[in-house]
Amino acid sequence: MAGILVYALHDDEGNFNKNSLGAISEAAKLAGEIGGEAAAVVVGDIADDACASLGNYGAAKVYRAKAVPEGLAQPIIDVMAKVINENDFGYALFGGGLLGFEIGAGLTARLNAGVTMEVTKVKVDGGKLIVERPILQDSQIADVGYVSKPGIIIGRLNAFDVKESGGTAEVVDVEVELSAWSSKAKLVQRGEQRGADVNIEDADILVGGGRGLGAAEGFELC
Amino acid sequence: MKICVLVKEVPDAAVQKRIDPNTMRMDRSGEKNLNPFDTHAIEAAMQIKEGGAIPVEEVVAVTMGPETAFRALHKAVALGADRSVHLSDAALSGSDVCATGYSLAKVLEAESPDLVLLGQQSDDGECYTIGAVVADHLQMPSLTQVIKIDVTDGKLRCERQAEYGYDTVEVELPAVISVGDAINEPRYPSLKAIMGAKKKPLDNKATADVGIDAGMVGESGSKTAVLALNPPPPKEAGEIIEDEDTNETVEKIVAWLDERKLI
Repeated sequence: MAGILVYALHDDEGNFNKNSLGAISEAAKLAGEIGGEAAAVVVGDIADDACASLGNYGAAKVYRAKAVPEGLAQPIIDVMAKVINENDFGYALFGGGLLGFEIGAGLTARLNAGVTMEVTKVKVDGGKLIVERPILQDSQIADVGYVSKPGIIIGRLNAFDVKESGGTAEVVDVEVELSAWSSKAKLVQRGEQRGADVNIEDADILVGGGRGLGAAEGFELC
Repeated sequence: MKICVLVKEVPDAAVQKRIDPNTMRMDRSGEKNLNPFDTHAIEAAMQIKEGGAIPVEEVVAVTMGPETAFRALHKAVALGADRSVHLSDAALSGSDVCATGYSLAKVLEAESPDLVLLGQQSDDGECYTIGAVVADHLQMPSLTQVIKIDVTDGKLRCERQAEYGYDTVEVELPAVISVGDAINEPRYPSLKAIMGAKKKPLDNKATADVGIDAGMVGESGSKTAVLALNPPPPKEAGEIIEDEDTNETVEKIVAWLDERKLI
């Protein structure tokens, strides 16, 4: 199967990340060209409707691992590796971001698979995907291909446009036994907002300072 | 506790980096230096060692690279590492991320570290991924882009900025942690440390010494292939917006930025 599997990041409440939606749209377009389907992986107890709504961006199927927590990469590597192996996906695509890089990298090791990152464009050549990856501070663009399956593609943030195509995805629940090391990191707190209570628009005087000041105390006026 | 710090020799910031069109690999002639992002990982190791929350027996700098890469190791030990390990073998030349991560994991396996630290990226490859690849091979928990590490009760309490805000994560040891450059301000090596660096032990390892399967590394063992190199598309000519009605001008600027996904 030449299918493409996408990781759909969310905020624990079923609101999917824009870059993940862009990656699903891109995967649907590419899968159509190479003769396969796009599918998404969702972890956490996310409602059927929210999962099925990914069909609006081109996902034919959504693999949901309800018992697996969102927010840390390694449990999601376990889920994606299982789904890729059992369904013979040809590629995994990520819309970028911290977790996308970590999961993509982990899958590389787990599946002994090629990985490209900071990808800005994906092309189809002879039924296979070729990626464009800017290198050397974006002074050159490398065309990179995969010599074996699966190929892991980690996009640059905002590389893939969100496109609504209409439709509903089939939701398939998957049970995954986590690796021993996947449960050795635990989220104590996710998404803490810092500095949100400081509104610089309310300030009468704004003082800017560089690293030379060393610490907050360096701002004290003499 | 034993901490291994992964380091890399990269072209100096002042050197114009280029790809050799014949080999499709980085041209590594010219002045080279220790990857600046790695100095934050060494500093993090030194702060854990000096912090005293957990006894650290040794800090070991580990690299994979051509013969000249020992100079990066000298800099790493000048910054505080106790000794270093250099994996170098012609068979490794041309390794991609998958093959490099596997090779580094094999060297680290031989060292049995309690903690592996590395910088968030290399200044030349800019892949951001090696830490997570190494961690999965070593079957250790892992976190990248960490900006704060505290050691409590034999575990790490790490902070980082993720998609939805700041995350705090408790990580059991052994673990692989890649640190962001905001985590600390690396120290400068003293003259005495620079002079003494060459005297600290440096182990040279080849692929066979650490059990690397030669079929999984180098250009032939890599899973990706660079097919072509192209210049980036030429810059489009700028657009001048005359400010006749400021509200309209602002709207035009916002629309222009929005169209290019800059806001």
